[in-house]
Amino acid sequence: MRKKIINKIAEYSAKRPGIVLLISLLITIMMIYFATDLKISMQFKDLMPQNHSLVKGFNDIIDNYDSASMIIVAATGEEESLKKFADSIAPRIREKKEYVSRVDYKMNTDFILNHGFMLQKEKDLKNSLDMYSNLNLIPWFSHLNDSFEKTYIDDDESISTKQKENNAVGMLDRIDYLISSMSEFSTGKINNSNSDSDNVAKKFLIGEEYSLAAGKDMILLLVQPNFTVDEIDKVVKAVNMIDSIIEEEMTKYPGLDAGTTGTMALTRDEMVSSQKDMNYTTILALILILILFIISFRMWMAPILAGITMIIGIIWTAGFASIAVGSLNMMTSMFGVIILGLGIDFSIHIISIYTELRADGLLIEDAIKETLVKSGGGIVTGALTTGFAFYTLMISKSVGMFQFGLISGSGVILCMLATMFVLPSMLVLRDKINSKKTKPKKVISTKFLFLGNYSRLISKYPIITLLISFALTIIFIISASKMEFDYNYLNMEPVGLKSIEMQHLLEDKFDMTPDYALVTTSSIEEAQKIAEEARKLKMIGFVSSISDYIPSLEKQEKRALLIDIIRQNLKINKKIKPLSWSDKDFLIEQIERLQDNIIELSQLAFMGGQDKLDTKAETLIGDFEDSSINGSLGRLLLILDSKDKNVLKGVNQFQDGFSTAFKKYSLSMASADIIGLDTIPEDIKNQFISNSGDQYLVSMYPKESVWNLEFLERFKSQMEKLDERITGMPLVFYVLIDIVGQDGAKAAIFAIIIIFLLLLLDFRNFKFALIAMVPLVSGAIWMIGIMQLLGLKLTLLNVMGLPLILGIGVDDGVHILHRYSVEKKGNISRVFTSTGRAVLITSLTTMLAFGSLKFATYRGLGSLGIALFIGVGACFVVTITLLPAILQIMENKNINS
Amino acid sequence: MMKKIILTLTMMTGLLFAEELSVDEIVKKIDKAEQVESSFSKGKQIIITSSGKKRTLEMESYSKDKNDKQLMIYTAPVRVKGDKILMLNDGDDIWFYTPKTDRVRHLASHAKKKKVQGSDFSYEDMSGGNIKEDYNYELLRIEEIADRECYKLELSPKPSGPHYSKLILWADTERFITLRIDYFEDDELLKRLTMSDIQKINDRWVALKMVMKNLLEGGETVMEMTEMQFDIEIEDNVFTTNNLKKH
Repeated sequence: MRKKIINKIAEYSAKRPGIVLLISLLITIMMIYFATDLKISMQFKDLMPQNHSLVKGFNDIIDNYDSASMIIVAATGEEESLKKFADSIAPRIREKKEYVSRVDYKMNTDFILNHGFMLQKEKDLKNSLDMYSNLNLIPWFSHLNDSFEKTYIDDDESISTKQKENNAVGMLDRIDYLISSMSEFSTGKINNSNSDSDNVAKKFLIGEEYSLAAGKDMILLLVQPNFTVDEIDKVVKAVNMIDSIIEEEMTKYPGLDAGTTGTMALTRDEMVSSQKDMNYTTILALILILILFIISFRMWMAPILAGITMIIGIIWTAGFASIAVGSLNMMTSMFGVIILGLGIDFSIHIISIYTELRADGLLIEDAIKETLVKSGGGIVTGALTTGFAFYTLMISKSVGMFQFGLISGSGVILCMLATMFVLPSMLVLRDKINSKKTKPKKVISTKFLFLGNYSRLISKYPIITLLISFALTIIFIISASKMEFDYNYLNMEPVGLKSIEMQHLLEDKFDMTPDYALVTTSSIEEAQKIAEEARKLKMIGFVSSISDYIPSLEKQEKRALLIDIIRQNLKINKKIKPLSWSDKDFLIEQIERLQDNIIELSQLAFMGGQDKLDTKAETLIGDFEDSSINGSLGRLLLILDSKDKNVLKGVNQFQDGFSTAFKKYSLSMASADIIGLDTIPEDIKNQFISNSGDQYLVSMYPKESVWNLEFLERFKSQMEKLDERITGMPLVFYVLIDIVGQDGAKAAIFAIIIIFLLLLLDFRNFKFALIAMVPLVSGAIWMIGIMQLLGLKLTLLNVMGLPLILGIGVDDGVHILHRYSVEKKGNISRVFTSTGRAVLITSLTTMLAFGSLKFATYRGLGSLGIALFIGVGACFVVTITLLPAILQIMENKNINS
Repeated sequence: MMKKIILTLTMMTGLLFAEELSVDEIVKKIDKAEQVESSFSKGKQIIITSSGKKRTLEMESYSKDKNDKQLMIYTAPVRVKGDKILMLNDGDDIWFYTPKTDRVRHLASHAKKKKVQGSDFSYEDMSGGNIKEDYNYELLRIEEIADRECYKLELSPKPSGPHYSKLILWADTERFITLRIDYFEDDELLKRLTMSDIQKINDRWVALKMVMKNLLEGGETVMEMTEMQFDIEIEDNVFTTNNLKKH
């Protein structure tokens, strides 16, 4: 039946090549039309089973919280430039109302000035009560020191977490500003204008207004778009628009660097880079393959025809993918290279035999018919076994893996059809045109004699060959058993993208990581409860929730009592007395005490490894290793130590202005009113409250990087214990790896069974079917073993290499055995000289195609490329080594019997 | 395969040998091997900073009364040279001194279970105590750790003992020195202490390298000893707050 069909195709291609090509062209045009609608989405969550509770939860959060899909503008540079830059781009971005609903980059000072003390911890309020009782500088500094010592020096756990360290950095920053301003007042650089005093007191009480990093070298603007991340076209346009504003404004601030990051910017960059990857790895693979083809066959036209056939195959597959699934994901985006690497093999077999037959003097039509008869069976079986091996991936619960199986499997079969119809017709047409125009060229025979000689050598020592191969396989089984999984998705991500660079900087400067856990609750109380429980967990570095702004009623009531005391203290405040010359020493004593306190804190921070705090402390206390560099406290002490009478005047001016402003703002912050949802300003609500207004987001950030398997497993188990609804990128990725790992193994077993059944159907001979399995099973073992020995790990993408290599590796054995069954016994070296050449070239082309993935920006694709490069190479070595040995042993047995 | 057979046979032999020693005797030998009346050591502590850099601190340590009193003096880098931490009453009282301010601070709010500055060791991990007094114990089996045959003991702290819910301890069957401890809290593995570079000093087996891996929070602390002396004369006034200010 199959033979009949192949004969018919051969006959039709030989007689009516024009019609075959015309029909193929029409199909191709139709598929191009469909393919233009094909989209790409490179998000990990798109690979997950969409009905998985973690994915559903994650998608719900992205859909329901605008804050989950921000475009982040991040800039690095000098503090003043950063502030001016932010002030200049924010209104320009806000103007683009078709994309942007709001831009935030400054703290909501009104809310803090009205409710600031209610947001402070009871312990901190208690520690600072005295600071509001007397605003004369000497007692005020004395109370500041008392509070500082209680909070930071006596309690060695006060800086033990990143959140606590950041709070301490904020505290030092506020003191630094206060001390620097005091120096400027003392030297007369600042006059006692109300606005200057206001600024000092306000900044001391509420901290930095701009979203600056602790080191003041990075600023953030959060742009909230009015669309979701799934609206790809808008994402690309909006991010491009913001990037162009950044480019324009950046030129005005030398030394400043800025860019976009966050989910939206990453989505834009990933889409653009994956499209580039898809195009240039496919083109690179095509060029490399054609060069190899031309060198191997010493002709240039036939390889170009093979290239055209491949392009047609890829277009048909793209059209099919568009109709079947609509968009490509991280796994399927590389289908072009895979189809090219595997599909070209079919063309190689056809061209290889066709050129041989033409070199032997056969006429065009006879040669093409004979070619399809000799190679057609192998091509069809090869395509079906490979295609079905890919289809086994469709058993996976992972959407990504399912679609990869469907598209790649269908792609291989579509490529086989393109090769069977289009290539023979083109070959016939070319030769017919050539024969009319010029004298027939002498076709060069390009048999690879060295392969024949190699197989002859193997045939002489079949037992030794088998034993050596067996020993190698055992070594590779042992190393394969030690193979590890790489659970860090960042190792899959592209390198060199601006958004990724900015994200890394952001993680470093702001301790902001995308790798956190999220949960959405239906009440504020529930959010408060989860946040409190999460804070008790040792793995959690910090928690952000609406409860940071609406503490529980119990806490607010306790704080209200202390706030009342602060109000009383402020009201009965002692009159401000100007400092006399003799008071100056007492002031110096308190400033020195503050310096000592900060030195001790910085020593504890240095020993404890809290180097952000240590660096900040340096701005106040100077450099320990260079005593000539004074900090702001040292500079103030030098000023106070001088005999210049104007200094005292300046200090008194500072005291007057600061105490008035401090009292004003403290009284404003000392509101004992209970904070409720209606009190919360929009920008804060926007962070924590869903668009529908009835859900509350809690974010939990791990203490350390989660990308260590032991830590990730514990993080996952703790989050599950805390609340089973908790989701987030690390948890989604962990589950995805698990699914892909398990399904990859299942698919591999399934693929072995299907391949064996197809081989049985093809050869109708149990022994041959079994022998054909040898290269693929051994090749797969060698692949994993060699990968482990080279220090490579299994990744989300290269784990699919296992079922894939089974589908790919089978072809080598199939073609050799098909040829052996035609050539009959005693012709092992002849089989390897001729078909061995095709097998070598097909292996090399496949290796080149997969190898080209190494140059993809997406490192995940590179990991699969390298795995398959090794796998295909291993399958080839096993085929040309083990098969001649096995066939020879079989022949010897027959002779003996 | 052969290696596995030999190992199994060795362990079976070990188990037979173990039966000759009661668990009380094993614990007594471990306590004897590890408890020292007084000691002096020099070493390094390697920590990871909050921005991911490695920092090495060098220090000298003195201990007396079976670790009840301990004094750590930082010697390098220059930045912390002369900083001292004094632990008294089995870690209940901790004092910090830095010559940069010449002040002695009592770290008041600490508890024994809190971490020693920047490390994954808690004060109670560093303080004294012994198995017999602080724990109820049980011999689980004999296991191999780092190519050494070990007694695997489960230690349940007595009310006066450490705050952990249990410890699993592996002690060398020949040298009776601890090679590994797993610390559990609420039946969850919290930390793992691994000892290596075991050497004989002053007729006593000691681990010159200790790695405490925090499995719950991530991160690890490495302590490497470069010099150790045992049972030496150390005057009591070394462990006083007044002495901290003496250079």
